[in-house]
Amino acid sequence: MADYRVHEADIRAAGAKLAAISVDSPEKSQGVREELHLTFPILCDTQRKVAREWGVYNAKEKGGIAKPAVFVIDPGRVVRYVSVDEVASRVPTSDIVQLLAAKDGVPAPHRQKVIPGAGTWVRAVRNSLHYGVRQPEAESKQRR
Amino acid sequence: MSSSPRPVREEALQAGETAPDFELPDSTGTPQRLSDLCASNPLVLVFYRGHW
Repeated sequence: MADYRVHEADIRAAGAKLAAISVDSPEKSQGVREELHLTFPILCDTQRKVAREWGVYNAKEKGGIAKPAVFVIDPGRVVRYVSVDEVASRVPTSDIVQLLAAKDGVPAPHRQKVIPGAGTWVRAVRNSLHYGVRQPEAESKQRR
Repeated sequence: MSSSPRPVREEALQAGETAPDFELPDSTGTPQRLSDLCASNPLVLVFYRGHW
């Protein structure tokens, strides 16, 4: 998320808006927003309704959360780009900025279930150092 | 309209599809509607996992 704070200006410069969404409560989300000094809105999908309808719901983890995913939605709610990551990393924000800057060019390749590159892992490690490591056993604990 | 259930999807929305509209509160309690957020500009919407 801090990555997006850095790139928000680029996204705006490309004529786009930025918003985040999670299943957390407004109180918790506002805590994250203030802690990281985010200026873009964080939407609160506490009922998991949007995650389910958009096909990014992961029922197996932590009582049901959204998979890390990035969508670029054009006017008219048309999906231009989607990236759903199955691991704790996500598509580099610079790729999104590049996509937006490309205007009406060729759509970027669909990057569902990407294998993260080295840069992504560096970011993931850096985020872990910043925000703490997630419990790797969480998923198996949730399994019934 | 809010009472009509929409299908739950196993696979994520694909490029070219129309995203289901929604209205959710943001962290300050302000209602935010997708169709407003992307009314005249592209929207980058980032699903993130809570509990960093």
